[in-house]
Amino acid sequence: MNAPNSSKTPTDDSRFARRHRALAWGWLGVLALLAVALLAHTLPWRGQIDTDLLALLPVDERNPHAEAALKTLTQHGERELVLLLDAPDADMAQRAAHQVRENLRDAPLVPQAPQAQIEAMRDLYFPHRTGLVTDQDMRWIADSEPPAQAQRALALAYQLFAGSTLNWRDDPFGFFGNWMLQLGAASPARPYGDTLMVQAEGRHYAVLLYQLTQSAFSSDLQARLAADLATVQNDLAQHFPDVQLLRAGVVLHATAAAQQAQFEMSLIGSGSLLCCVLLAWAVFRNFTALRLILLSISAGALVALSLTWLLFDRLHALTLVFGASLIGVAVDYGVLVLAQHLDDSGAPGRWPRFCRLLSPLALVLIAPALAYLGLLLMPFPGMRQMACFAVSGIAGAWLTIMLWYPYLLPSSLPVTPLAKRLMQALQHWPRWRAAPAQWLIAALTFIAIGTGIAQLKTNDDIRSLVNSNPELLREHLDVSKALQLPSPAQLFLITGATSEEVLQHEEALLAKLAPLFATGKLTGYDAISRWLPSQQRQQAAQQAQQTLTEARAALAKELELPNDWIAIPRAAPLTADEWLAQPATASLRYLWQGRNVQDGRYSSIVLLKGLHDADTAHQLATFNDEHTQWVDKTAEVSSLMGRYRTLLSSVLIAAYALVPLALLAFFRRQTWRVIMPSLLATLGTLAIMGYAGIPLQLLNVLTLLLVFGMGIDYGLFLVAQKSDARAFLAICVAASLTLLSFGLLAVSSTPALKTIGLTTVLGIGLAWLATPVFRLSEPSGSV
Amino acid sequence: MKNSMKQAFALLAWFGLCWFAVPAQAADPALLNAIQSRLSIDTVIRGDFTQTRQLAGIKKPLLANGVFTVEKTQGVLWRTLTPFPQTTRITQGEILQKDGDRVLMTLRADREPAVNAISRVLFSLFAGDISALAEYFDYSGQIKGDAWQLSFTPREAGLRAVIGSLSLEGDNVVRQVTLASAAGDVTRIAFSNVATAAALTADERAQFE
Repeated sequence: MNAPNSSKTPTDDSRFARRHRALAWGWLGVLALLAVALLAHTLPWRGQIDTDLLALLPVDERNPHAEAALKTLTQHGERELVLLLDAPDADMAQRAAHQVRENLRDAPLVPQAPQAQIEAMRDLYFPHRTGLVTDQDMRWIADSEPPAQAQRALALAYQLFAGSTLNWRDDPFGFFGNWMLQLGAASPARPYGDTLMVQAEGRHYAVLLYQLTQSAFSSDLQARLAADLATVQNDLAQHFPDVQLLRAGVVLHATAAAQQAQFEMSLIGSGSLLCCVLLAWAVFRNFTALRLILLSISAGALVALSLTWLLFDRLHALTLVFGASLIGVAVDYGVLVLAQHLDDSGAPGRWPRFCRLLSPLALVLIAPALAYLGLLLMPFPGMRQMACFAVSGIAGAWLTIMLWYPYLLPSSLPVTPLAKRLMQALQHWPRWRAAPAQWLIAALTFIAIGTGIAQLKTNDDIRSLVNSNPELLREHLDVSKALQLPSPAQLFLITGATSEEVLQHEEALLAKLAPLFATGKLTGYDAISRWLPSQQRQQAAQQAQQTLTEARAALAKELELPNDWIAIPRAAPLTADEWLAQPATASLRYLWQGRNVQDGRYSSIVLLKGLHDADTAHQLATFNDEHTQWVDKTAEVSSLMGRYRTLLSSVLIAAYALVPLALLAFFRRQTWRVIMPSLLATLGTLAIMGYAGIPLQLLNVLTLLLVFGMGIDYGLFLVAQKSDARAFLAICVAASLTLLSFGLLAVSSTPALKTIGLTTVLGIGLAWLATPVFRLSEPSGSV
Repeated sequence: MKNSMKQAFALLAWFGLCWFAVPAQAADPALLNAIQSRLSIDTVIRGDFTQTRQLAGIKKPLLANGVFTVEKTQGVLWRTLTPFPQTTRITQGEILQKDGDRVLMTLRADREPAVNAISRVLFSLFAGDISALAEYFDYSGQIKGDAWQLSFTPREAGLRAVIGSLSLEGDNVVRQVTLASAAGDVTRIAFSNVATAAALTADERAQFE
């Protein structure tokens, strides 16, 4: 702002007024442009509201391979929908599956037919079979003598029932049969008639696999699918009361989150607005005042919405929920200005009166701006968006007030009974006079605060912030358990200079993991090398098969086989390119990350099943080497949250140390009065959290930064206005609005927003109560 | 999560051991009932067997002899005596092959769910429980006096990839089983000295332990 602080002479006044008028018109132009931009893009943007809670998670820039792997996993899973029909017997599960398939015939889903790939997979491996031998059989070949080898083949020849799908002649030792058998360990699901079935703990599950026809975040698809699944539920309840439907899929969570966010957005938004209007009306009883307040809110909302949408491709639903509550903050400044006009008809002209407010209005922007800049520093993309939304909204409202209010303000506002009572309340509010009794109370307060803070615990577990519909979560867990799905957030990332190297490193890792599988600490794994052994390994297997010639010669003699059967033809190893090119392997390709365009290295992922205890997870981290990296997204995010909690705590402490220094220039020896309310509110909030057993997390600290910003504003305004009762009225109104709008956040079902809401209510409530305590001595004579 | 959904398909790659049931829809229940009523079912059936395997591409037929015991609730003991001793034990939870005391192969249902289905088919086969077989196969057959004959073809594509056909002949007991693999190996088993009993011998019981 180019606003001079003290403009005394008429020439200065008129020059300032001219400049101000130009800026005001300019601001109108900017708002008009933003409005046009917003309207022009409303339609194409309509479907671009993100509901994916994962968007809140930070991106780890230090590890692009791991991020790419996790992203592939997410994309791979995004369009999947799995339905499990839990029945007491297999036939019932299958009949229920037929009905469900019929119900979903017209749903926006493509059924995944399990039959398609059977023959193709076998045909793919058959030409390369001499290179496909299990670990166990490799050891057996190395350890056995030719007579025993021949005996094994002979036993298989006479055996009533053989494990191999091949003729004895093509697989005399059963190696290929065993190798194909170990592929079966990849999943417990098996076809039963035309249905995929899983049997676990006496229950029979029919598995229905679907692929969405559109993105899981398409609102159209979500609505259709929700209706179709409701039909499925009803029909099942009617015809198969003993069958339970279990659902798993990103789309289900996305639908639930979208519905929730929409509901909360309208609830919090309209609630905030309504509270705002009602409170403003109760205090001012004046249409001009109400219009001005609504003007600053709508200008703020317009700027926030359009700028955020311009800067970010997509808008997250949580930003809108959070943004809805900012109505309460954006309105603060308008209220501050309006309160100054209560019963102020005796004041000089419009300009001098406005100029009187300039310096406090400029100062009140500092603290919140700093607070929200802190938010911008966070590595959480969602929070950056929220910060952008908040900063632009508040700045928009503030600019509107600074530039337009002088022209629109009424010359004076009448004092309403409520306003009068509030202003009078200030005189009865206890004030710090440094009396001995007050010192005693202060000491007791600090002991209470200290005791509370001493009990404060911290919690950085990201899982405490990500909420899901508990019903969906339970179903998801049941599905994961029945199908023995691996954890998608914990994995080994394998890298290498070539695809062959990656496969070799995978095999080395799996060999190291063998004891964990043997002891049951892990129950299984998903890795590409299960399906595609490295060339090295295939060659070793072929080499080993060559040692069987003596046994084969004995067999040929015994069974009267032609001599050309004895020698094993060397087959070309199955290559990664060949394997990846097969349509039959498409469903496994997510495990293969391929070549990274940035560094040209190849990578793949190994997923683990049955990983439940933290000790094993720690042990897995010790398998790290230059090619193998244990990526634990959950633990990583949690530790990141912890690091940022510490960092942000330091920022908060630094803010409390530095902002007073900056304010010293204006308030001199009274600076402590400005700081004390928000400092007490912060410490008090921490103490209450300690007593209540609410753990301190990153979000609480973040909220305390907001409390710092707003709390300082209250102290600042009251002290700057020389403890004017009108300033106190403004603070009361502003604090009530913040309490109401952020209090509404506490009703959110998203733990992240709930935490922000609760902490803000505590902090702002305490700051509001504490502010008048530190006012200057009673002002000379107002009201 | 979803990744392994897709693996559900991939696992079908190996279909080797998957013998699966299809809901029973007996083509001719009267025929089955007539045959089933001829079969004397007791707790224990035991007898001798002669097995001839004709492997695809190998001229020499492979001959084996041995004894078998079927216990209604426990399973099947299949003891080959010549050309070399070998025991196959089929129970609900596992299929075990032993060469004397040395275990050659174990397939366990808790590791490989298909084992349950396999053991059910094999058990039904030897126990003469033809109605149980009818769950897995289409069948046709005829009765001539005391003797009867039944041919089974797998009802479902996955099973057809493994078993080409199965046929049973018998009178009051099953006399002969012929099993042709889809790939071309043919196994013929003839039963003789078949007798029924109420209980297992101590030795047999020990083998089932």
